[in-house]
Amino acid sequence: MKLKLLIITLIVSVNLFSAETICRSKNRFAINIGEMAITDHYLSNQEYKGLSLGLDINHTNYYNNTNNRISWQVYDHWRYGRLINPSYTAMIQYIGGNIGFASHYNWLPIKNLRLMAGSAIDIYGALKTQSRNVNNPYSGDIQLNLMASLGAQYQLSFNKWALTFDYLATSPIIGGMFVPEMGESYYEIYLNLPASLNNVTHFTSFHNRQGVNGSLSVNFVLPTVTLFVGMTHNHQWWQANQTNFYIKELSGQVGIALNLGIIKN
Amino acid sequence: MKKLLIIINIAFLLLGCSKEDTITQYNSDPKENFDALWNILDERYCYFSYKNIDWDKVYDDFSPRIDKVKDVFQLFDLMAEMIDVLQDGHVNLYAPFDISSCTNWFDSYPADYNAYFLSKHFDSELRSAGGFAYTTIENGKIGYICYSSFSNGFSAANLTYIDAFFHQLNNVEGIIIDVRNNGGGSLGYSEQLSACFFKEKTVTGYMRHKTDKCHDCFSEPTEIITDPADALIDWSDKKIVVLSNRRCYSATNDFIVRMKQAPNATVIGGITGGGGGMPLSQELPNGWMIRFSAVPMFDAEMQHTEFGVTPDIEVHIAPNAVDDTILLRAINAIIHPTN
Repeated sequence: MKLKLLIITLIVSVNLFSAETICRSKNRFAINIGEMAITDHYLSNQEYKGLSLGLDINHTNYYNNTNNRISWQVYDHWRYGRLINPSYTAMIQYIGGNIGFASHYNWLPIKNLRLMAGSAIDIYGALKTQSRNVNNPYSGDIQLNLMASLGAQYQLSFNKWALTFDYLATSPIIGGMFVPEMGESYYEIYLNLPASLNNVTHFTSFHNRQGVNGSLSVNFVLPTVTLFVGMTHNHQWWQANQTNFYIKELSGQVGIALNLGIIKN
Repeated sequence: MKKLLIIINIAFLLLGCSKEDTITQYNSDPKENFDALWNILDERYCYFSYKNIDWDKVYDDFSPRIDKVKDVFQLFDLMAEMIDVLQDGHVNLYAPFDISSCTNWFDSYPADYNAYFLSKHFDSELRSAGGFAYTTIENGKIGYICYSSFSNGFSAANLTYIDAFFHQLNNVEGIIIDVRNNGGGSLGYSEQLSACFFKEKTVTGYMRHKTDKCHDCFSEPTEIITDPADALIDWSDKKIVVLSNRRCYSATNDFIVRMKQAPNATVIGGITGGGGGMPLSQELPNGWMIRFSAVPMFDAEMQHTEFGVTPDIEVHIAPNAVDDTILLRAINAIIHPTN
């Protein structure tokens, strides 16, 4: 009985992919490894570089079962960085993440090509610790941003499987962020709550917050699962209160996408 | 469409690259590092105006000597000499081979401490509880607690057992808290310990911080409140004497500032060492670290505490004196408070 069910499942899957298809619902899980560089003038004037490890989780689907024009995406991306200063005398440990919700309009201008454009509400938080600072060993980032989001997917279909190339990038437009005043200790911020929040919260737009965070992947769409390899690039810069912050990351990724639903193109 | 995508990507990359100039890369050049040190302090040190220091003149005085520097040791010594102008125990230069420090703030003051006399006066050997050493003196009439560093933590259990030793096994009339030679540590411990002696929330000081690079750009003062809710034990109704000397620095200075506002406490001894500026750190392009006073702190009357706090009763120990006159004055203050 089990064998029959397995054969039926395989036949159905192969038939589905024998036609031109796109993934209707995707749950993507990826692990990342790469290089990260950060500058945080609250902790140091120096650029710290080192290894980064990450976990990216994305859930994508269309709002409407009968309409493949408008899709939503929920994502959470986590990073850990172990970073050393240029003179190898101090270390910063970084742990941070983005959680967001995006909506995209999808259109198919030519066969096998899907373009996406939309926006995302993104919450970014990070904690950085510097190994030898006195009274300023920690620096925290909290940001809420409205992001522009652009993407493209090109698909090559073969007899029993498909190959897709995905690229998706986001860039901040407006939002708010937390940056302490240049000589302010976290101790003082804590002492003076909630009044101190006035000086440490900032409106952000292109004048003080720029960046792009993108992900390129090559997906091997097999009958029951999609495997992918790719790379992510993240380049963020912001400044306030005479203090500059910078994150640059380039990493490779491997992952798996579970397709819970598939529709024909 | 392809062209559009390429243009968008190039634009994003250029946008990021334009900010590279904010990053300082590794550089071992003496002049670059000397300038970096001078600039960090110029932008962030908080006492230039209060100490009436002409920092530009300091640069003019010291920078010509950079050309004569031949190795890292000479560079370190030159930098250390320059920052010594600030006369601040919170200003230190850290290199892998040395740490600079300013000691003038206590070198020219009396020691105001007599360890031999102290040990002869104890009823028994000192016991240890957390960061405290304690015993009784004067045949159990007075509890004595020595706190040698605000870097050493303590718990509610530590204080509870000390309290039991003082008030159940003995019947002390008051407690002496000896923080002489305590060079500081955590402001958190200062806040937590001093809270034990307050009956109600009290504004015990203020702090400000730099909001810009100019020497006099400071925020409005923030109240520093000592709150009995933070206390690990309630000693607010006990008779307390705090012993001080010039070596009371930084967090200990903060503790003395708070205790001067405590309802049943008296500070007896020498003027404290100060260190009223909370230090922060930055690093130079060659990896050396500079620690400096960045956040000025004030007492309840909004007076700077950088140069020390005057005790309620100023007492000194004469050079070559056999007695610890500060301790004797404290005993007298508890047993014969009207004298």
